[in-house]
Amino acid sequence: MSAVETHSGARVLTYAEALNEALREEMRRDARVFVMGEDVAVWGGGGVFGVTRGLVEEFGAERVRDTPISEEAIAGLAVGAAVAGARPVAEFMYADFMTLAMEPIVNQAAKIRYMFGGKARVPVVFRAQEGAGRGNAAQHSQSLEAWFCHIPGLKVATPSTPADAKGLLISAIRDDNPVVFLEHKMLYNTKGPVPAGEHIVPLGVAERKREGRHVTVVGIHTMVHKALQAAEQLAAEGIELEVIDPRTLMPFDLETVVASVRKTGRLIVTHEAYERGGVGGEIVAQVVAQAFDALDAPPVRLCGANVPVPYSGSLEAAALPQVDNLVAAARALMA
Amino acid sequence: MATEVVLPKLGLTQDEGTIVRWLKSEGSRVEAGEPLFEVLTDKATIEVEAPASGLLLRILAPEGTTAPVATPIALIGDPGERAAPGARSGTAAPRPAPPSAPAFESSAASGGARTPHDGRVRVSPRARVLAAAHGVDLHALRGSGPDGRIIERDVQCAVDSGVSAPPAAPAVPRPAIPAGVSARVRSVIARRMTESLRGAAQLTLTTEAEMAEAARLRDEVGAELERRGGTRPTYTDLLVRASAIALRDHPRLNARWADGGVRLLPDIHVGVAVALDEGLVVPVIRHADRAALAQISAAVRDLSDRARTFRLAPEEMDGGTFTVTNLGMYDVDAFTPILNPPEAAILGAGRVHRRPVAVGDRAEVRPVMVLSLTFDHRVVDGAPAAQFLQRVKHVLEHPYLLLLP
Repeated sequence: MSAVETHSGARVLTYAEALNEALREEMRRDARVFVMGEDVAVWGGGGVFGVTRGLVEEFGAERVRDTPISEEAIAGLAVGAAVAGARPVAEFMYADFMTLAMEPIVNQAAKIRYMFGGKARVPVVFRAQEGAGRGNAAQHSQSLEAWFCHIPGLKVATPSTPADAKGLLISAIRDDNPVVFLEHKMLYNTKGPVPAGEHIVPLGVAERKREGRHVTVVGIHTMVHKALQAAEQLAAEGIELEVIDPRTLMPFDLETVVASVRKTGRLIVTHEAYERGGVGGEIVAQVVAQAFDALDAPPVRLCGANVPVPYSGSLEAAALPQVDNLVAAARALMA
Repeated sequence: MATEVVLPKLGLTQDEGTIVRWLKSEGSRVEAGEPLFEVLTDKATIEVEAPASGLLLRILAPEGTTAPVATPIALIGDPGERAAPGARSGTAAPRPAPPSAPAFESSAASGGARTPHDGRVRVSPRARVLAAAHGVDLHALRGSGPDGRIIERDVQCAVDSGVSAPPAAPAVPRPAIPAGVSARVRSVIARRMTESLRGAAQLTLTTEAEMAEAARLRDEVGAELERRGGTRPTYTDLLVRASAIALRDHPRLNARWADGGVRLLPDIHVGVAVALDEGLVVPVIRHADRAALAQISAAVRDLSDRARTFRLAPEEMDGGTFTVTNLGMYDVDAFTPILNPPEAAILGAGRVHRRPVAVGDRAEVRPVMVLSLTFDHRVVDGAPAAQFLQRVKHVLEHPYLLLLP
């Protein structure tokens, strides 16, 4: 760990280091917690992005298990282990390939506690990374959180900072229900302060990342950071954005978003995932139902284009919402 | 396949119409939605738009023809269709059309005829709630939001400028001013003015505006407003409106120095300095750039009346982005106003007085007023400040600009 002490007692860690720290602390704390996935232990040297680096050395191959390349097998084994009393953290190398594991996730993990009248629990975490920005093309760049938010029985986390990544992963591991924990591949190397000692972020609590009076921006993953950049730019024009990161999409902290919209009267929801059928539409619908009278303009969605994510860098950028789009949308709302 | 242009049904009881004028000639290019011909119904002459883009291949009903609705009266298509048998065999006389001619459907659907506005007022939900709370009639407002929608600021502006009819406030006699108020007001003024001179890099520009036209506007508009139960606008009112218009064009003056940088302010709120025996107060006209002159006039009168009876709410003296101060009534020509912090500019008005002015090579006696603009050089430089002052002068000298929205 290349931790740097800051004056507030927090260390500066990368997003990947923060996740690693969460896994390490929970594995030390609770012997039932174990990690499994493709190349998480020996072969990959700790996962493609280094999130599980060093775990096999500390906890051994029993608790840090490399699996065959079969997402369905990973999910199925994890569900079985969870029902039997373990607390597995199963990693999928790309969220895109969770599509191969939808049966165990959707029909088993999400349903078992309900269908057995609470007599069985499924305390499993399905970790994966999603998102675009690296030229990984159409099959390795999608953001599929909406698929999981649609299913009752699953919780969905989407941290955007190292501190949230650590705090939310600990909550996910300690939760007795299945949590789909979606990381973003472009965030792994981003750095931020992480409080020293035990740091827990509860599921279902949004965070206001910047305060402002004029437009509420609800962003997910990288869009939180783009929204903060847009806010900086617009501040010079006297337009203030209030940036909210819901941090978990299920449960969703509607209260914080509605309180903000009651103040600003204007809402932009932004995510990399395709606009059509995306979580943004759901958020807008819930806000309108609760706070129709607070709106001074129709809510705006700024989302990924409804196309397979392009390989070419310039086309990939064009298919994702960018800072300029946010700036323009906010100006139009304030016009 | 050519598109038939049919005589549209423009009224419920209309069964025929007369072609008054073709706005395009045969063989010319037309775009869908472009005005194509004028038709006289039993009530009015109405301009009808082309239902499709292409060449106007043939006009089947020449000007002056009366035809039943849904009769094909022209054909629009591609150049190659010019020789189409149907078109060639067409005669100038309109022929009956099948009852549900598809071209008629598309013409109606594309809003071929200009239908009157449906009278629906576009209002944001937020604005509707605010209007209901203050008893503001939404039909009396003009929307400034996207697509002309009435939004919160429009209603707020109406509320602030007293357009709404809030429940009549009970007549309150001038309260006895408690002892010590004067001293407290004095100490606030002392602190703020010293801070202003210490904290900002201020300097003053002056220019002279000819006021003959403004005086005429005051008289003519004032007479009309008085007839309607309003009040004659004062020169201060004209200056508030002129400043607001100029600030809209020169937003760099509607700014403040904050946190080591310039912060442009999104809204224009103009304060008016009101002299009281107890000291100076500056009530604020909110969104002065969006208020009509009559509204500003009413608001300034209301605020200064209430200032004199100490019945202003603190928020009514807060949030100004620019100040107007007028010493003209005391025979002052020009002065150096002190900035009202944290504002970046203040406009001082001198007296309107008649003096000889060079007009060409002759001297003419005309009413003039000196404008004194103090600005904060940290926020804005001399040239842009001067351009702003020029704009104020121009608006005052061409005061009909004060009446534009």
